[in-house]
Amino acid sequence: MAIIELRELEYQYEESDEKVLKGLTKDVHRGEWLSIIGANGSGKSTLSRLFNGLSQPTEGSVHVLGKNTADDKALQMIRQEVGMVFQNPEHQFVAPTVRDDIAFGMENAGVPREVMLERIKEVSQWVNIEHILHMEPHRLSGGQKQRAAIAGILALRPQVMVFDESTSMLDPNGRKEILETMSRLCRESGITIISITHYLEEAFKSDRIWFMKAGRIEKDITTKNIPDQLEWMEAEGMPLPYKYQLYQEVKKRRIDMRTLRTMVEGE
Amino acid sequence: MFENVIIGQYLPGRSYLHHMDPRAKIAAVVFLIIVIFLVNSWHGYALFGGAAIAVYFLSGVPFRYIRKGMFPVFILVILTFFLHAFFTRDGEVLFSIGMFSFYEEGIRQGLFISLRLLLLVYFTSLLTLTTSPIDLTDALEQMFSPLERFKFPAYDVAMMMSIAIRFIPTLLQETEKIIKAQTARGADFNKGSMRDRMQAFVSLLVPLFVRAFRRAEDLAYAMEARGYNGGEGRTKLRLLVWGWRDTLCCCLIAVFGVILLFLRQ
Repeated sequence: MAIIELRELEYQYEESDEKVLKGLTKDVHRGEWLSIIGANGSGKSTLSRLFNGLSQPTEGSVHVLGKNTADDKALQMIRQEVGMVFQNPEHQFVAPTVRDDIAFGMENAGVPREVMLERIKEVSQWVNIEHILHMEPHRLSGGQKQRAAIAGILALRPQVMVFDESTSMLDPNGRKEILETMSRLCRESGITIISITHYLEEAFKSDRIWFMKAGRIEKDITTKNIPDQLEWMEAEGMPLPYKYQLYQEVKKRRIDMRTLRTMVEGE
Repeated sequence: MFENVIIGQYLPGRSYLHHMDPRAKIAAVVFLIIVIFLVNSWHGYALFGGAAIAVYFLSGVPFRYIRKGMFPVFILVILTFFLHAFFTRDGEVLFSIGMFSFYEEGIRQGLFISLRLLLLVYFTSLLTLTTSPIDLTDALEQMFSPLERFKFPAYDVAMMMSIAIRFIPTLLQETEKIIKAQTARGADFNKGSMRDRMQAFVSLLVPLFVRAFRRAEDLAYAMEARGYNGGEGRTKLRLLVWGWRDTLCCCLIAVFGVILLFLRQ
């Protein structure tokens, strides 16, 4: 069942002559983990801002839970249902402490104070940041900042969470933490995850991948079909994760597993 | 020099003043500032001195901290004193040094203005030292909220102040990074002529402004994405609670102010 519907979606920046998104018609299904991957300028970050009405399409429409993002009356509801975690963890902190920042979205939504306190406790336990609730954002690590940002969005009880290159500014540990959190959000809490990324190895952890190129969705594959698409990915110049490179080499050279084992042991 | 400026700094603690409602503290300080400028007798300033000592004990702020913080203000105070001492020529001549004569009224005015400045900085410093920035902005928002019916954007002003406070350490960190990056490319912020130093500062300010604007745009997106829509219909996590100590403090300060006004000459 579709939770977000894109119909003939086009987007063009005012200062540009060319469209960044060209005629996208796709559905995002409830409860899935969708990755959107593409080179810089392919339109993936622009697309992410259309999911919760931060930008409005030049042509076509985006419907979230049946509501059009162009409808001003529905916008507040849409922004509660589709939470966004941005690329730079430092730039999305509004309040002076983690606790106040988690409360910010709830305050905007008019959530009563007692409910806010309960939810802060609940979400901070969920993303394991109870011990840093009193801290100022500049004292946190990148991973902690992103988890705090996730807590701020989770407190709004969204049905969809969009991660716009949220791991790109983190160290390997921070990236691992956020990917595990994304996986738990999707698998344990049933939240639909849309993850914008540059890394194939991150995208391979999801259920489905949209490959974007020059404003279009070039391919839409389920991760079960990855082995069939590896050659195409290589031809497109995408650096495959190590295990898939190995898989490709083994396949190309027609090495059987016993020979491979002998080779590895011989090394 | 800037680490010695105590106005605007917060020192966490558990003193009587720390536990007071920030609205009571702001009201008290504003009232005291008005009274400071109305007092014009030695008795009045002696009473003010006594009050300053009492408030110091209620604040729990270490004395060395206040001494360090008041030191930069002394330069301004001494300058103000001498300006009055040199240029006010009323009353009898008390003494002369070379071509300069010092008049009774000049010395009196100089001392009064200096005391006013010292007391003003002292009380405002104690306000910020015992009140967290977020409590201050919350209090200001509530105190200005009656003006909203006259279209004064109390909530937006408080939000702007809160964001400005939140970004001070972040921008300081950013400044440090840019200084290191520019130093690595040969910029020198400490040596050379005034012109060279100004040029080096331009190489610091331009990237700092560019980054600050980019940050502001990202922050605006992040706020909008979390449903920020101004103050309408908004609830608050932080509650300000007016207690007995706030009422007591306001009453005492009102009585104190009335006594001081009676002592006016």
